[in-house]
Amino acid sequence: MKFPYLTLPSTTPFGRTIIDKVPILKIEFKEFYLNCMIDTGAYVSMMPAEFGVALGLNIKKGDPLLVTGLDNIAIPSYVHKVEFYVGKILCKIEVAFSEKFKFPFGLLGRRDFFDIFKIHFYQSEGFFELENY
Amino acid sequence: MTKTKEINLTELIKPYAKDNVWLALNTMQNKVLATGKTVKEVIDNAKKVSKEKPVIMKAVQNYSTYIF
Repeated sequence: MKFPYLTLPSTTPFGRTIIDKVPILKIEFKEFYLNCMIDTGAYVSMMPAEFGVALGLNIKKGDPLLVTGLDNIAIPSYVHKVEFYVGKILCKIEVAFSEKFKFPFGLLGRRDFFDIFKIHFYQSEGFFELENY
Repeated sequence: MTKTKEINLTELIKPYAKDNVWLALNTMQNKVLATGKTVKEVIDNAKKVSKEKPVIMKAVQNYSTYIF
């Protein structure tokens, strides 16, 4: 399955606009799709806690996990098994939900998700490809 | 290789970026169906205006600054 990179804007503090192409995948839940960045640098997939609430999860009943980012600050999160579709493929992966996670989209990390698909990036051509194992 | 259709959200997001609101986009991601201050609110607002399953993401000014 091929998917286009999303072109997203950024404005620097000096007012310069940078156009970035990001490998973002639209994953399908029962009532909505969620845009998620494919993040080869992330071990675990992450989503803002309010997404978990929208999915009907009791966030704090998940397995607690401290996730550390670039700034070396550990943020508390709770891991839940989540199901969604990519095309016709049902994915069951563990996702860490956190109230401190303020990204504008979800992150699909290596654990579980990268075991479901071989992922090929073709940035210059503007697309990425998921191949089911 | 088969060409995939580019999705450029630059102009679509621009009017909402300063407000940091959640967006519900249509499936093709070329139209904003609804906005909301929370994920729940944006999903509820989208249901009121469309039967289409919305695509949820947040409007921000700087997408490239997000690194974890």
